[in-house]
Amino acid sequence: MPAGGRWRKAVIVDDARKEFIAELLNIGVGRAGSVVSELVGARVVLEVPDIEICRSQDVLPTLTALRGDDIIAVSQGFTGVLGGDAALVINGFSGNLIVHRLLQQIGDDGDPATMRDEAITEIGNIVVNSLVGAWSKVFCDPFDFGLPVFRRGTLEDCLAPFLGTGGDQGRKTYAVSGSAHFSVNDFFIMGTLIVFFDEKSIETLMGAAAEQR
Amino acid sequence: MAKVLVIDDSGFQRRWITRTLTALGHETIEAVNGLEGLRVAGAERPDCITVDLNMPEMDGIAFLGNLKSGETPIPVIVITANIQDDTRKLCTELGAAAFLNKPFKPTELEQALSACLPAEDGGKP
Repeated sequence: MPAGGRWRKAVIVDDARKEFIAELLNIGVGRAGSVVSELVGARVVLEVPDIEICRSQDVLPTLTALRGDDIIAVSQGFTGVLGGDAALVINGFSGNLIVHRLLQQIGDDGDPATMRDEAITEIGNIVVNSLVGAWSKVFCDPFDFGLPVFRRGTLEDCLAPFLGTGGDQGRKTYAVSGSAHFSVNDFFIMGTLIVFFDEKSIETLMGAAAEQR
Repeated sequence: MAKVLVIDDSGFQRRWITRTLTALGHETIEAVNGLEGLRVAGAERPDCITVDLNMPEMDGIAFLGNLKSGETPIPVIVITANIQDDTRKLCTELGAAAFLNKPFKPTELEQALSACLPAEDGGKP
């Protein structure tokens, strides 16, 4: 049986379930926008995110806006009623812009280039906690978090641990992604939140979605 | 002016917190995790501590538990990205004096410090 074959039979992602999952991600994207707005001290115009649900190994072609060699991802594992990894993915330009604004905002005269990685790791940490933490209210169950992990390179480099290949094959089976377009002042920033769910979690999620109908 | 120990594994976040505290007129010392935080707290006897929760070696929850069992209580302000109510409750049970979510506003930290510190160190008279 190919990787992911079992859930393919067991899990049906119909429109109603997709809507429920999309709403869960929307909550996080909305909070992410709010957090970025607070951090950079500017009004953030948040567009409705494009939600994609697919097998983890098929997620790369759906992330069409994240191209090039300078992609940044901050991921964080979480466990609880749902388990998996959530990642904030942005391109290098957006990262530089956010950090530049952030340093201005807190009155820090440090070099943005040297502080960028740490600053973006912290932003990713805040955004992922906002996303998954908000779910704790939906599921009435707390989540525990791993440490944030910073990766930089091509999109494939950044997401390699979660794509369901190699040793992880079959463990992380499903990717839910939402690309949010922010406008900060006159600048355009694109960030994507991706959550890689394990098989048990995606089934839990589908069950919860069915109960909502 | 108070001496405040800032415990966070993120250098960026430590810089952010220490800049805020310095601007408020306080002295700061730093530690990168709970284990180092306990050592520095014992050696330096700060007036107040800010601590992150999610850290390697020893996290903020374990730090609070260890500090609580110590002899002299030092007020602790938790500054974390974790927004969950259960986490806030646990920190309160472990003796945290205040709980702030990242990104915090300088006024929030100022108010939390004011509530923790004696009047001569910048607390409420």
